[in-house]
Amino acid sequence: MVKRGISTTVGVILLIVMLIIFYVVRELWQKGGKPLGAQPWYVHAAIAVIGGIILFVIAYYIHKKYT
Amino acid sequence: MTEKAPTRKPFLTSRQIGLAAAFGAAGFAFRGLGIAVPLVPPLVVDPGALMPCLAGMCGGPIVGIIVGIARGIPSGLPQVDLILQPVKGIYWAYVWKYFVLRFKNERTRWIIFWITTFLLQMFVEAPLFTFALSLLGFYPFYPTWPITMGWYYTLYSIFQIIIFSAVVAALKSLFGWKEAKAPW
Repeated sequence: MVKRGISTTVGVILLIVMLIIFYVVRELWQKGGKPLGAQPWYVHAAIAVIGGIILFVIAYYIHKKYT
Repeated sequence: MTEKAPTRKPFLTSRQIGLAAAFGAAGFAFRGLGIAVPLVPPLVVDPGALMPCLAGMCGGPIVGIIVGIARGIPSGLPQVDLILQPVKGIYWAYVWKYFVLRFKNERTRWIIFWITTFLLQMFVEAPLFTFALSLLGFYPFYPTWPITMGWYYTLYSIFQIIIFSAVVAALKSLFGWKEAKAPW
């Protein structure tokens, strides 16, 4: 039996649907701005998320190297 | 006589579709939610803008284009980002495949990768975006950008080098780093 992934056509259609959903979210909610920007915790949250990602990648890399 | 039917290379493989969805969602989410470190308004350090480059490197130019569009949709200036973000995905794909991965020695390749990242940021991406902003009237006199924005793009390129290196080092096989061969 040949192992197959999702068909290209289905995959491309799903990607187009994803982009349409993004467009709808932009038009209905985000509107090109920063919807969370008005929150007082916004800057700290942004720094925490980015710092968290960097720490996660470093931790993963160290884990991978020593196991 | 048995003859193998010629197999047509698909427009996008399952792997590329998955990469486009993952990096596209990340690019959209970072910009859409505004997860970026603010510097001097309106300048920010936005990891979402790195997604088209990473997607191009591991998935090829078409994946880079799709992710660039996903990153451009939530932009405050979609007329700029919907054009230039996919362009980033395209040139990073080819630079990665035909230049960075040509260096067989890993240590040399890392150094070349860092220098290339810095040069592309300062001499391709920064001029492109500043020029587009000047066309729209958001930047007054285009040739002065190295004086007014040079510090920002230098800082951004350092951020870019750190994130790129961390992601590539953690996911070497995804980027074809070990084999020194682009996986697309």
